[in-house]
Amino acid sequence: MIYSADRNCGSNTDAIGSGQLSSNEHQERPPHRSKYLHLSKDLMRKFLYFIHKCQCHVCFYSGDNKIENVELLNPVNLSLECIWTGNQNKQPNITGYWRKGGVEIQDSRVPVDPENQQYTLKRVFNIVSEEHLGNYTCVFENEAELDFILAVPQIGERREKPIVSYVGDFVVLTCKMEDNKPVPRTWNWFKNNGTDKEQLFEAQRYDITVNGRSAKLKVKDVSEADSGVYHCAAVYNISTSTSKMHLKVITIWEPLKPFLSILVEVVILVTAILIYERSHSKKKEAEGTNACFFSLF
Amino acid sequence: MANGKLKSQSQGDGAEGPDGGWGWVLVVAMFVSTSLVFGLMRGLGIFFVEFVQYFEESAQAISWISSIGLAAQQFFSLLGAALCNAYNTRLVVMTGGFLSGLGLILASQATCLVHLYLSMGVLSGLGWGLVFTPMVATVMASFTRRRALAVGLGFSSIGLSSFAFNPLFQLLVETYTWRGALLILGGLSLNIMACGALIRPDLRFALIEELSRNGEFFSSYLEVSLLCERPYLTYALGVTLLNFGYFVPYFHLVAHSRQVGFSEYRAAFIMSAAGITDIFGRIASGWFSDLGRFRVVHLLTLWTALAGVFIMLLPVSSLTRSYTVMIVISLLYGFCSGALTSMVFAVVPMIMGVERMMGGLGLLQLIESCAGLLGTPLSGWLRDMTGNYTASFVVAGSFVLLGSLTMTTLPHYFSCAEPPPPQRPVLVDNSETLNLELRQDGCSPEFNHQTERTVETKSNQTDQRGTEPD
Repeated sequence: MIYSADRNCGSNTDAIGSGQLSSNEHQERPPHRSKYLHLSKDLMRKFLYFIHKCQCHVCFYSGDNKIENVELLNPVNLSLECIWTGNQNKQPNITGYWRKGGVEIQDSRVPVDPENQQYTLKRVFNIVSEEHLGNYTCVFENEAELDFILAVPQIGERREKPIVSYVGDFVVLTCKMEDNKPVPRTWNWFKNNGTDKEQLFEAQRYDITVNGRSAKLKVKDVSEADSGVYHCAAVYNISTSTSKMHLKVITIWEPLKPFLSILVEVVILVTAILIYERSHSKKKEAEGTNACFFSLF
Repeated sequence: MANGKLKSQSQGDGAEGPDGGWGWVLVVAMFVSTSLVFGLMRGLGIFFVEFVQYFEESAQAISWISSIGLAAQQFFSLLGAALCNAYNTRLVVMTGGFLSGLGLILASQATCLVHLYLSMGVLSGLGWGLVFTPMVATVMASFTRRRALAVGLGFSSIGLSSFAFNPLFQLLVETYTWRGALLILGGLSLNIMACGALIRPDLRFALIEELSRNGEFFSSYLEVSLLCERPYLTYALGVTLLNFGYFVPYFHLVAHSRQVGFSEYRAAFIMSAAGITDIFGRIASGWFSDLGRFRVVHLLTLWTALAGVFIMLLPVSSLTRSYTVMIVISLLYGFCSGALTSMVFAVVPMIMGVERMMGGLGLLQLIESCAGLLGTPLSGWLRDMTGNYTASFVVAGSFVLLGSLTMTTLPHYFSCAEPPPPQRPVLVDNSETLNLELRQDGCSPEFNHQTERTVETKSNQTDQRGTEPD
């Protein structure tokens, strides 16, 4: 489930409510859908499934896939809730705690009593800045775990292969945030310089165009020094989301190598054919046969 | 052709006679050169996407590049045929290979669209036109009994190379960008010169000499009188309509697949799938029509209608976003496309009679080249207007369907037997050598042996009826 909270998510979103949901019912949406609230299509069958109540700055979230992605734009008080239906053992009590980044959060251990055959673990987290993002896990000791990955919206398309350009030509690097994700506040471009990232600004050789969800960096008159790794960063209130791409600048010599070898091959073939034919026809003349001559119509 | 008489030479006097030996070498040459002309043209869809991105121009503006190339190839086919008679076939094919390679090499340095129109369009198109028809004619002239097989083998290269070139071009574009890829393709095209070198300089087509002696060059050569005949006009109209839509998938399917969301290589393979079944469609349709159960015109309208339907289904199938569905439709489309090109040419002697075929085909090719020129840019313009390729493909498919419907208005369409051809073929002493003519394909760039068989059958029949000898 992907869900993100917004400062304005407040008044209109109601909880859908609880209950056993079969997989057919997962298309239901809250009456007023906050712009950034959307549900993924896959839905767990067995467990309870809440869609939260959103009040200003506090949003509730719960679910039961093994890993849940939560996208956040702004600082928020986020309530995370895990529900486990237990197993045959039906233990009377169980200890639950939370982990962040694999490390147990201090003072998060609580005993969990079953209520209507369910064990519930809930905690409110204050997510203010980048260091509060990360991987949160709710743990029912020795029984079950659920991960919540709190992050900014990630830039979808990642170009694995390097972008190639020729010395002296221009190249345009593009980054686009998908349509179903929120619009970044702004975009920045960086280039790797040794171990550092150096920000690029509008300059003689760089043209930066920002258009809401997409950003373009046009590098003019590229040279081999422009090769390297570039990052585009979508800036949100809480953090930035980056995507990197590799620019490779080649000289005309690169394609020229196979081209010249093909050229040589053609010349060799043609000469060989002509030479063969000359020697062959000389032989034929010596033998005195006539050349084939078809006259048509 | 109307005045000429066909003389035959006794063949098979040695290893160098037709139906063997050097003829098979020429088949290889035709295989290679045809793949470098049509296989290459069908792979230009990959470059289409790159051009749109680089030049930031509309789909319509970019479409002109390939359509100019295609139209130039069709248009200059006639010139190629004429030059073969005036000069050496070998020289013409080698020049054609050089020009097509040069056009692509120059295109790699283009800085604006006009450069591409002129280099990749006009220059390469001229080269392709000079290569294709002479090459086909040479192979045909080198075989008699095995001609169908030889030419069929030569043409199988189109489907095979279309299959192989699409992913190859994608690889080249990714490694060297379109500039480097075009440079390398230009080099590859120069191999046509090696193919041309294989043509023996002593092979000549003496047709034009005879005609010009009689002083009826243009009117006979182009068979302008055909324009007054209804069957010919109907057929020309049908083929022209077909040409409007036929090439659109080759140039726009890759772009459409990419837009739907498939990755570069998956999109390239959708195009390849059409290439693979093209071969089978050709062979199967030739075999099926040989069975004689159905008239060739009926088969033609069937395959053309099916091809039109599948072209229209291409954007519909992409709505499902399923790769399998797109591949299946592409396979079916490729099959029908190959099948229809087989039939399109087989119908020709029935429309215009064998002795007027060359001129008639030349004229037909002139007429249809404008459809080839306009069809793809129209599709590109529709894409620019609507934002996706659905309208483009639907319109292209409907043009193909319209062409099919037009064919049904041919005279005697609904009769079960073949009507007699407009003019009785000139009689010859040897029915086999009736087929030694300089042929051009007019209806589509592909050529098929089907016509020869039909012509052979016809001349056999007339022979048996005992008309006057040559």
